[in-house]
Amino acid sequence: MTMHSVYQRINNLSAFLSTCLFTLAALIAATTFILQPTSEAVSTGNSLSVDHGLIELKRVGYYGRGHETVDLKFNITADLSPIFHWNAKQLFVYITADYEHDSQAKGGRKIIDNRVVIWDRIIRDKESAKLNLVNQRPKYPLRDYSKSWSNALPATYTIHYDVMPYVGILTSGTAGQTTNPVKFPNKKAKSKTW
Amino acid sequence: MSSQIEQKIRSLLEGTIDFKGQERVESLVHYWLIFTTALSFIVGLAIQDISYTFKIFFGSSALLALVVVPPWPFLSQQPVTWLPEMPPSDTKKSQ
Repeated sequence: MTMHSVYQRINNLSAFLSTCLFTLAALIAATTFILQPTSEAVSTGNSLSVDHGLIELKRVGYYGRGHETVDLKFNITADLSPIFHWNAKQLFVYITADYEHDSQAKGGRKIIDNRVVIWDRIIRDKESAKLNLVNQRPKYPLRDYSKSWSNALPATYTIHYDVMPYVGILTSGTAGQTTNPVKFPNKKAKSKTW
Repeated sequence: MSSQIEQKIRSLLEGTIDFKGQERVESLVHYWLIFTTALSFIVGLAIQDISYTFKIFFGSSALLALVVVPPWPFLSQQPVTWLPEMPPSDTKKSQ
């Protein structure tokens, strides 16, 4: 005759406990899709404006003649706090410059899509989710792969966000855009910056 | 002397309960955990704080383990009653 010992009761309990835990996790992950506001809802009331300055020649590392870097300033007014529901751990917010590059130089017309990240921030709580930045300089220099801005078409700047959940999948969206494409300057700064 | 102590420790670790107790433990674990899962989900969702969900879930599970794992006397209230001993039969003769 065998009766249930302590070990069998522990086994019985932990087996059903893991089933319940996974069910709970699945339920929490599912609520993300209901609670998370859409990009359109997040974007309302937000604004992003960008002013291009001159093009500066900035050297990367020790050698070379340098990269043409667009000197710019931007203003953001954005409220990302509605994204913080119970399953949102933190946000990764970043601004991209999207533009097309018309590279005629190397034979034929060829339009190349470009997306360059100029600024980002990690937002950990609801309190710091209200962005109000004036005359902010980019965190990462805006340089083109071809080292020249002469063939670049006007750029659209967009605020993107990734929502990192406690349980579930990573979701993303956009939270505002420049109203009109911003033209790149063709003037270059007189003084070299190194 | 030492074997007696050993046996006592062994039976304490084994902690068997009676059959009625087993049935009671199994249904208690089942309903308690389903209730806990639902409660922790609803509370967390209502106050929009996921930390409460997991505090309730694991807290309640720990309490359940305390209730069902040790061989408490309430799980051994209906022990198996054996039939009275039969008179010895003459097995040797039949061989």
